[in-house]
Formats: sequence, C-alpha cells, structure tokens
Amino acid sequence: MQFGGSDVVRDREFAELLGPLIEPGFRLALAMLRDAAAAEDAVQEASFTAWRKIGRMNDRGKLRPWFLGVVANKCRNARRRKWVADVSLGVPEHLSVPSTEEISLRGTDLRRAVARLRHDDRLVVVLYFYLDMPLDEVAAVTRSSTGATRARLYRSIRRLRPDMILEEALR
Amino acid sequence: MSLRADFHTAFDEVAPSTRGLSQRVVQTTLAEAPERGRKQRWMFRMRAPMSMVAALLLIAMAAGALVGVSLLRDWRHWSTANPPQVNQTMLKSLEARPLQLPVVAIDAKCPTSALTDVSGHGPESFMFGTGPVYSSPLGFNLTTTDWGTWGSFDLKVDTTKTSGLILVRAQDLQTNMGAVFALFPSSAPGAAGDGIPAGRRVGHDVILGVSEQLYAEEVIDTSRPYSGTKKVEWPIFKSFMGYPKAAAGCIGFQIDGGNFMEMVVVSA
Repeated sequence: MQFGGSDVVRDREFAELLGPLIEPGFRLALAMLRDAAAAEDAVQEASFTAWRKIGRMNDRGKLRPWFLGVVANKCRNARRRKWVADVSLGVPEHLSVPSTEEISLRGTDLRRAVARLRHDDRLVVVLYFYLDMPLDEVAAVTRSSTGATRARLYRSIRRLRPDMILEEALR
Repeated sequence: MSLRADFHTAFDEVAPSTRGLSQRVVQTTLAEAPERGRKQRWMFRMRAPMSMVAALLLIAMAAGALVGVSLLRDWRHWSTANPPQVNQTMLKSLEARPLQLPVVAIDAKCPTSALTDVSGHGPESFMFGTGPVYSSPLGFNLTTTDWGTWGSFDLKVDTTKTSGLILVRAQDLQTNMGAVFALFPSSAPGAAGDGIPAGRRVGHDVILGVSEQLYAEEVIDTSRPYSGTKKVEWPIFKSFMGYPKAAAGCIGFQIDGGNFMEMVVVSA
C-alpha cells in the first residue's frame, strides 16, 4: 500500500482508509473494556499506531483485521493499567454513557458473562457475535488458525451459555 | 432470540453515539501523529540505554538482597553463638522451685486469671494476673506447624515491686502438655524487649520457614534493654510461645522472681 507524495494527499488517503474502521474499532473496544472513554482512548492509540505503520501494509484487504487486532492489543494493554481496572470494576453495567432506555436484565447478564471471559475468548466472541465478522476474519484479527478460533469460540459459548445448543448459538 | 441478537441488544443499549467519532479520531491522529512520531523515535533511541539502566538496577537490587540476607544470617548466627548472659546462679535457684500449676479437667472451663487495670502504666488497658507480672491475651495462631500452634504474647512487669531475673514456665492445664518457647523467627537472641528462651532444649520446629530451637522456659531480665514503652511506664517483654496440636489451649504460666511466685492462666 503506497501513500501519495504530499502530506495533503497522504492525510486524505489515511482518512479514507481508516475512517470506516473507527466505528467498528470503537464497538470492539467498548465491548472489551466496558468503558466508553477508555474505548475511545484505545481506538485513538490504535489510530496513531496505524498512522505509523499503515504505509508498510501491502494488502488493503487485510487492513480491517489488522486494525482491529491493533485495537484489541490496545485494549489488552489498557486493562492491564490499574486506572482502567478501577473504572471498569466500578461501573460495569451502565458504563459512563447515559442511556435513556432501561437496561434489560438479559443484556446485563450477558455483558457480565462476557466480562468474565479471558481477553482472548472475549475478543473472539465480540468479533464474531457483535461485529458480525466471519470466522476466518476473526482468526486473522487474533492471528490464529480458523480451526483454533472455532474451538475458542465454541468453548467461550459454552462458558457464556452452558445450556444453549451450539448450533442455536451460532445462528 | 439468538445469541448474536442478544449480543447486539446487550452492547448496543449501552453504546454511546458514534457520530463524529471517526472524524475526531482521524483528525486527532493527523494533527498529533507527527509530533508523537518524533517523540517515539527519541524514546526508541533511549529505550536501549534505559533498559540497560533498569537491568543494572535490578542486578544491584538482587545483589543487595543477597548481601542483606547473608548479613542477617551472619548476624543471627553470631547472636545465637553469643546469647545474652543471664545470672546462672539466680536462674538455677528459680528453676529449683517446683512447678505448682494446677490440673484442669478437660471438660472443665479454663480458669482464666482476673484482669487488672494497668492503663496507668502504659498503653495497655487490662492484662491478666494480679502482678507483679501481667500477661496480655495470647496473640495466637500466628502460624501452625506440624508440631503445634505458635504465637506471641506480652508480659508487663511492675518494676516497682520486682526486678532482675524472672523465670517463666508454661503448660497446658487441661492436657498437662508443656508449652515451649523460641526466638521470634528471624530475630536474634537478646533483641531489646524480647524474652530469652532458656532451660532444657526440647527439640526443633520449623516456624515460618526458619528452624528454631525450642526451650522449656523463658527468662525475662528487667536489667536488659527493652523497647516500646516510655521510661515511666512498666516495661513490656515479648515472648514467642508454642503448644502442641493436642493441647487444649488453656495455658498456665508459673512466673518466679526473686521475691515472688505468681500463676497466670490465659486461654488461647
């Protein structure tokens, strides 16, 4: 992937490439971190990384899984920091986002169950179920094989919903 | 409802609006990235020297810890080889006094000594006994070993009524099993304010990872330095005592001094 020569052209190309990925990146970060401010920080940090490294990418088709992988990595680092842990533990369900809708018990339970998963398991289920990514693209984000990702997904579903039939869950 | 739909409902209902987010993030990146890039290049250049400094610090800390442990061991070894001297003649005369501790039936209530208000002579308010030596409650269950239970307690001495050497012997009144004394783990003999384990050596026990010699008695020498109390207050001596697993925990102390004999009973 080659950028144009001038700064203006380079900036425009960067905005065109990365712009559409910011929103899914934010949704991924929000589901991973459960904190809107921390999620935006993670996406912003991922965007800085993208700015530095995007010129080295040869395959434009791999940009989305690559960028989401960077976001996931920023989320992992963010959760290691104590301040994020404190924020997340304190407000796990309502987040820092005002919502006019009443939060359903089912949604609360699911968010709580997802939060209890390990980082890699949580990443797979969020990408698959929330970002609606196909399994091979999920595998590209997590940098593992499709088979290993499938196994991780099945395992995580069992942890989330032990009573649910797998085929039903995968619909 | 499928799990996928559940996911969307669960996370969408708490997700804020993302309107303008994309432009904001991209514009921030374009505005700040060049400056950050310069800083990061500088940081990258500094990373190797900083890593080296960190590694050297780590090595220095490890070496310091090793030297510290070694010094502590040497100091303890030296101290053990040079225990504080006590007046052996006086000690023998106190040891010659027979034990008069009562036996209490295993199903009887432990006859714990009365509490005395000693608040005028230090920070403690009430302690067991009628004096001139008073005992704190047993601060037990500090640790348990295969042999028994270990913990600490304090003895406060009314130095207006007695001074010099004081011999402490203890046993579990309901099982007649002897309680034993040892050094506080990682403490050297004769540390200010500590009682001195003495008398017959009755074995070893590994307490908090340290192999300790066990003694049948403890000696308090009020002429030795002590810490933790002001000059006008009665001194406090700290003791480290253990009793066997099978003991009931009704501990009787026979405390003999030059001019008195006292019994104090406490319950663990």
